[in-house]
Amino acid sequence: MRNRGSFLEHSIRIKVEGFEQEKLLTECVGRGISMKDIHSVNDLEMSITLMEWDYQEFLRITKNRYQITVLQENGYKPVIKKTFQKKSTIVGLILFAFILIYQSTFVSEIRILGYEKFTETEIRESLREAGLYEGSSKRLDLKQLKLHIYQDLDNITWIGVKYIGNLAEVTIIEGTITPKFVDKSKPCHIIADKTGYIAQTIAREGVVAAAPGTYVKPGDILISGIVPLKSTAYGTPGVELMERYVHSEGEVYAKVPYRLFYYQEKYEYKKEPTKNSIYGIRVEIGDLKINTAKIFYGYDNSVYTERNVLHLIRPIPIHLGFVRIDEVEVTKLERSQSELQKEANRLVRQAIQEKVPKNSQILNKSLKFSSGENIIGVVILLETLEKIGEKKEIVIGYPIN
Amino acid sequence: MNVKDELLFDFSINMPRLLVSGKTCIIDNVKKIVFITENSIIVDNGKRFSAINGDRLRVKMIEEERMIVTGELLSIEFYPGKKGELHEE
Repeated sequence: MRNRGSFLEHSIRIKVEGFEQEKLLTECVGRGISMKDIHSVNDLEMSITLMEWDYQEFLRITKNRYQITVLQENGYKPVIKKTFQKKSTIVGLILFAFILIYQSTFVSEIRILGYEKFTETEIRESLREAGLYEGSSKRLDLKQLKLHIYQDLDNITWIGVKYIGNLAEVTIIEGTITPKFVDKSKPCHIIADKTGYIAQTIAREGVVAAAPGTYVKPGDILISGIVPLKSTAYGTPGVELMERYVHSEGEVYAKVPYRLFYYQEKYEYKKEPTKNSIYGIRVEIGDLKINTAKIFYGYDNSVYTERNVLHLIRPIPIHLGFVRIDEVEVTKLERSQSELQKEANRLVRQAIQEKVPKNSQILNKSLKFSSGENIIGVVILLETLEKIGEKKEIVIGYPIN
Repeated sequence: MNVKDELLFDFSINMPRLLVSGKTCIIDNVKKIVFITENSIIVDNGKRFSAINGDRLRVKMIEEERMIVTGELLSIEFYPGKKGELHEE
C-alpha cells in the first residue's frame, strides 16, 4: 500500500465546482480514491486534496460535469520540478558546486607537528618560502617543498606533508646531536675539536701531547690516554708491559683565530619623491592575480605601498588591496669614514655573537677596509682564547680516527 | 460485552459505527455521502443513515469506508433504513 500520510508524497489540492457534490464523493469512495481535507464552501463549490496517483482516476469520474482547478501541489516532486524550472536556481546551484570544488583545491589551514628546537613561526616562514601557506594551491611539488625545508632548516631528519581536506598537516622530526659520552671506566684521549694554537694545557690524568704554542687541527691528540710505563718487575711477564691506558682528564686552552669578511655599501641611496603616483587595485582569487597599477607602470624607480582591504581564506582565497606606486628619484651619497667605522663595529659585534663560543675571551681584534667600485670590503680578524678538546675513546686494534 | 455481542458488533458492516472524541468524529462503514455542508454531514451506512450536525465541519479524510470529520460537533442522529429494507420505519 502506498504511503498516503507522508507529507513528502505528491498531493494535489483542487477546487471542484458543479452540482451533486455528494454523488461525486460517493463515486470516489466506491472506486477507492483517498480524499483529504474536504471543505464544502457551498452547494456548488468544494475543495479536496488528492494523492497524485489518484488524480487521473478522479478526472475520469468527473468527466466534463465539474470544473476542476488545481490550487496547490505539495510533496518533493513538485518542489524539485519548480526548482529546476527557474534558470536562476540552476545557475546558483552550478555556482555553488563550482565554489565548492574550487575551494577544495586550496590550503586553508596548516598544522605543524613534531617541532622541538625550531619555533612554529620559523617553520611556517620556511614553508611559505617553499610555496605552502594559507591560501596556496594544493598543486604543489611536495618533493621540492621537502628539499627546501631540508636545506633551509638544519637538523631535520624527516618531513611529511599530508592533506586532510583543506588542511595541510606538516610533520617534522628533528635530529638530536648529542656528544659521544665516554664512560669513566674506558681509556680515552682528549683531542682537538677545532684549529688553534695551544695556550695552556692542564692534564689531570694522561700525558700532555701538545705543548703550548703548538698548532693543532681537529682530531689532533692534546692529552694522550696512553701513559708510558717502566716496569721494575724484572724476571716476570709484566716487564714486557711498556704502556698503560688511562681515562684522560684535563683542560686545554687554545688561541683560535677568526678571519671574517663582510661587505658594506660604499654609497647611501636617497629616495626623493617626484609627486607622480599611480593608484590601483590588486586582486587575488586563488591562482588568478591582477594588479591594475602594474599595467600602467612606467617608472624607473618607485616605492610600492599596499593597503589590505580584504583577506579571506575560506571558502576560497581572496585578497583585495589598494595599491599606490610613487615615483622616486634616487640620489647617490658617499658614506663618511665615521659611518663606515660605526657599521664595521656593528658587524664585529654581530660576528662575535654568531661565530665565537660564549665562554671565550677576546684577545685581539682588528679591522681592515678594502675599497671596491661600489662596495667596501671589511676584513675582521679576531683572536680568542677558547677551551678546546673533546674525549675520544681508545679502541685497541683500530686506528684512532 | 460478551463474545457473541462483540462478534456481532465487528461484523455489522452495514450499520452505523461512530467514535466521537472532542472535536473529532470517526464514522465507519461509509457507503455513500448523502449530504455535505459546513453544518451537516449525512452518510449512508448501508442499512441506516448517520447525520452529524455542527459548525465548521470539515472532512479530514475519506478512505476505505472510513470518514474522519472535525469541527464543532453539536449532535449525532440516526435515520431508519430505506424503503422495503429491514430497518424501515
